[in-house]
Amino acid sequence: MRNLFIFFILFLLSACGKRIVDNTPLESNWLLPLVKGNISLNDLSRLEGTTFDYVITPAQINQPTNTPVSSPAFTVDFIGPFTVPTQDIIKYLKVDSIELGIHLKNIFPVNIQSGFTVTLRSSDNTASSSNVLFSKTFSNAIAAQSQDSLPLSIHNVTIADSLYFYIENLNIDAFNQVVFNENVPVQFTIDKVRLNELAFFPNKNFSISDTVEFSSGDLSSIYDAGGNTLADSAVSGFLNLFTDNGLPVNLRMQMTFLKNNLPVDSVFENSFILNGAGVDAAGIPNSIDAKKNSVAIRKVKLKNIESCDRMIYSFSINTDGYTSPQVIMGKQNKLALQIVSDIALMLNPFQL
Amino acid sequence: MKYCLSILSVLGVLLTHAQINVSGLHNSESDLENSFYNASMIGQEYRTMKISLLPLYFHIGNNFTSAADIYDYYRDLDKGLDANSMSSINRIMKGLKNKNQIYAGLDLTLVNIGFNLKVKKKKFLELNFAAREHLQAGMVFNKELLYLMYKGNAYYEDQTIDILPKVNVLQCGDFSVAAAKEFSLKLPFLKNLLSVKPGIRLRYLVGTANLNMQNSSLSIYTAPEGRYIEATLNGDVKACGFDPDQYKSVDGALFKGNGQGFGVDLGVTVKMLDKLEVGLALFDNGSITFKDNAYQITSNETVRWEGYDFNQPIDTLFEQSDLLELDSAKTSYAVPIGSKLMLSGRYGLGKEKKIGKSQSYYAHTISFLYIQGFRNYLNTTTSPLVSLGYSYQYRHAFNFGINAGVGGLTRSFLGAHMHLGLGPVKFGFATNSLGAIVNRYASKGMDLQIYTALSF
Repeated sequence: MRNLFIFFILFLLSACGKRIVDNTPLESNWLLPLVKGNISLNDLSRLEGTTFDYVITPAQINQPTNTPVSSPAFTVDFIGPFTVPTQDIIKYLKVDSIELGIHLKNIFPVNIQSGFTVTLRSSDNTASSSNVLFSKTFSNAIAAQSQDSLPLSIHNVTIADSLYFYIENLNIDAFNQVVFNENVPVQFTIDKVRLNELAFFPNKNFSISDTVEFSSGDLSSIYDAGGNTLADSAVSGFLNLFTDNGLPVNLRMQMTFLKNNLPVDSVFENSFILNGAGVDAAGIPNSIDAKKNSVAIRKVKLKNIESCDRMIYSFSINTDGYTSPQVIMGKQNKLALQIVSDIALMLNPFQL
Repeated sequence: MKYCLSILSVLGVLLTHAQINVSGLHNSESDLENSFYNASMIGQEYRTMKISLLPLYFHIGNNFTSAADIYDYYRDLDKGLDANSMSSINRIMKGLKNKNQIYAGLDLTLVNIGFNLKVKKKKFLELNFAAREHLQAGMVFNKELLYLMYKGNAYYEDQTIDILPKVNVLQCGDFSVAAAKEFSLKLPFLKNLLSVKPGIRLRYLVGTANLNMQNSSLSIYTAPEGRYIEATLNGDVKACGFDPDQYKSVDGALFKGNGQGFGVDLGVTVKMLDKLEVGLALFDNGSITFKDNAYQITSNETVRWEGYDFNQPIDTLFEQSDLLELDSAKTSYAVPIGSKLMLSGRYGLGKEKKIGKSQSYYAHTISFLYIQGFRNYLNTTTSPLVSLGYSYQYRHAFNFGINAGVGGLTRSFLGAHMHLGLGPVKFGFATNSLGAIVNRYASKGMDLQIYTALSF
C-alpha cells in the first residue's frame, strides 16, 4: 500500500512541471513560383501595331506649293523611297508573312487614279527589278480629300539590312487652277508578322533606354507583412530569376529609380546579364545557357523604391563574343524565364 | 489560417480523454458496463440480474495539444498580442505528432440487462442483452498540415507531404447478446484448480451514417528551389446517411438503417491464483456494410503551378474551374468498427470478504490494463495504453478508485471512479480527466461515464 501511495505521489509531482514559455517567432519560408514564360522569334509578333509614318510632298509629284497650277493627267514613275528603319545588328530576317496596312489620306486637291503600285525593294534603285522583294498594284482610286486603307500581304521574303517602299506608276487626274499647300500623310502599319529566321551580325549591340514616370504605390503592406519586424538592412527574401537562354544573343537589363532626378536604387545590384546560347561554326545555337540570378528583397530597397517618382529602364541585346559570321535565331530557339520568390516572414499568427 | 486552427482547437478543447473508458474498467462494480470491452465480465457484480438505466459514456480528446494551450491561444488572440507572445502557438507546434488525432464519441446504452441463469441455485450461464447507440467522429492529420501553414513550403523543399485531414464519422446502432460460462480447469503444473470464464458477444450493427476518408490524400510537392509546386488530390470519400430527406420516413429504420453488419467480441477471464484475476479480450471486431444512400466521391487530379505564364492572356489566369473534377457514384462499402486487444488484471490485497453465499470482494484491489488498437481510426489508436489503478470497496455499497496511465490517444492521464449502492439502486461515474487538475497543460482530453442501475 505504501509503495502504491508513493507511486501516485510521484506521478502527481511529475505532472507539476512549470510551463515552458517559448516566445521564439515562427519563421515562415515560402517558395512560390510567380511568373514564367518563353521569349522566342514568334514574340516578335509583338511588333504588331508598329507604325511608320511618311509624307508625300507636292514636289514629289512635281508640283509647286502655294501657287495655283493646272495640268492634264499625268503619271509619276515613282514616289519614295520610304526607308524602313532597321538595326545594324540585323544581318537578315526571313519572313514567313507580314500583313501591312497602308493608310493614305489624299489631301492633294487632285484625284489619284487606280492602277498605282506599292513596291518593296532591298535597295533604293528603282531601275532594277532584281531588288524587288514584293509589289502589288491596287485597283483603288483615291479622290481628292478622301482617304483609303490598302492591305498588303508579303510572304516568304528575305530582308537584309536595308528596306525601301516605293509608290510607283501613280496616275494623277487632270486638274485646273488648284493649289498644293499640304503634304499627303502615308502610314504603314504592321498588322501581323511571322518570321522564320533572324540572323545577327557578331559583335553588334542594340539598346533601348528611356525614362518614365513611376509610382510604386504603398509598399508597406509588403515589407511589414505579418508583423515583420526585420531591420531595414535585413534580407527578407529573394526573387530568383531562372533562365534557360537558347537565343544566340546576350541580354542586359536594369531598372534604376530616381527621386528628384537623382538615382536612389535599382532593381539589380548590377545589371541583369544573360549570356547567349552557344553556337556552332554556322552560327546555329547548339547549347543553352542556364543561369540563376537572385534579387535580394530588403526592406530598405522597398522603402527607397516607394519614395521614387521616375524610372530609367534600359534593355540591350548584343552579340559580343560570337566569332561565327552570323548568329541565327530560329523559330525553335527560345529564352525560358521563370521568377520564383523565396520569402522569409516572421509570422505572427494572431494577425493571420 | 486562424480559423483552420480554431476548428481543430474547438474539437480539442471540448475536453475529453481516451477512446476507452479506462477508469470504468478499474471499477469492478460496473462490470456489466465493462463487458462491452470484455464479454466475460458479465454476471460478476450482481447475484441474479442487473438492469442498467441509460448509462452513457462521453469522450473527446486529441494527442497533440492541451485545453490550456488552446485557451491561451484564444486569450492571446483576444488580447491581440504581438509576435513576442508566441508561447501558446509554439507549444501547440511542438506537441504535434507525425499522426495527429482528434476524436469525439458518445456511447449511449439504451438497454443493458444482465442475468445469471442458475441451476440448482448455482450459476450455470451468464447472459446479457444490450442495445446501444454509438456516435463517433474522428480526424487524423499529419503534422505537415500545420507546419506548412506556419513554416511555409520551403521547409518541405523536394519532399512530398500529405496535408489532407482524414475525417471519419460513424453513427450506428448496436444490438448484442452475450454469454459467459465459468468452469474449472486442472493444469498439471498448477496446484490449484484454474477458474476459466470465456465469454462471447454477438453484435448486430445498424449503420445510420458514415463518412470515411481513410484512403484520401492531398499531396503537395515543392520542387527544389521552388521551380514548381505540384498538388495531387487522390480523393476517395465514402459517405452515407447525410441526406436529411431520407429521415422523413422512419419505417423500419431502427433495425435497417442505411447499412447492416455484424460484430463479435471475445473475452476470457482467468482466476490464476486466489487473488489474481487476468482477462484477455479481443473486441470491436466486425464491420458495417452501407448499401442504401451510400455514395463514393473520387478524384484523381494533379495540378502543377509554375507561375503565371506571361505567354498566355492574363484573363486565363483564373480559368481553372475544371481543375478539380469529382466523380460521384452510388456505391456499397464496408467499414470496420475498429478491433482492439485488451489485457487486464486485478489483484486483491488482504483477505477476501464474503457477501452472502455466492459473492465475495477484496477491500483493496490493484488493477492493470493494457489496450492495443490496430489502426488510427475513430475510437481506435495504434498507440498502446497502459493503466494502473487502485480501488477501495465496501461490499456493493461503495467503490472508489484512482488510476494513472500512459499511452493511448492522450498519452498520459489520471482518472478516478466512484460507485454507490443503496440496496438495489446503483449509481456511479468515472472519468480519466483528473490530470487537468494537476497540470492543465498536460491534459489533452476529457471523458465521463455515468451510470445508474438496478441490481438484484
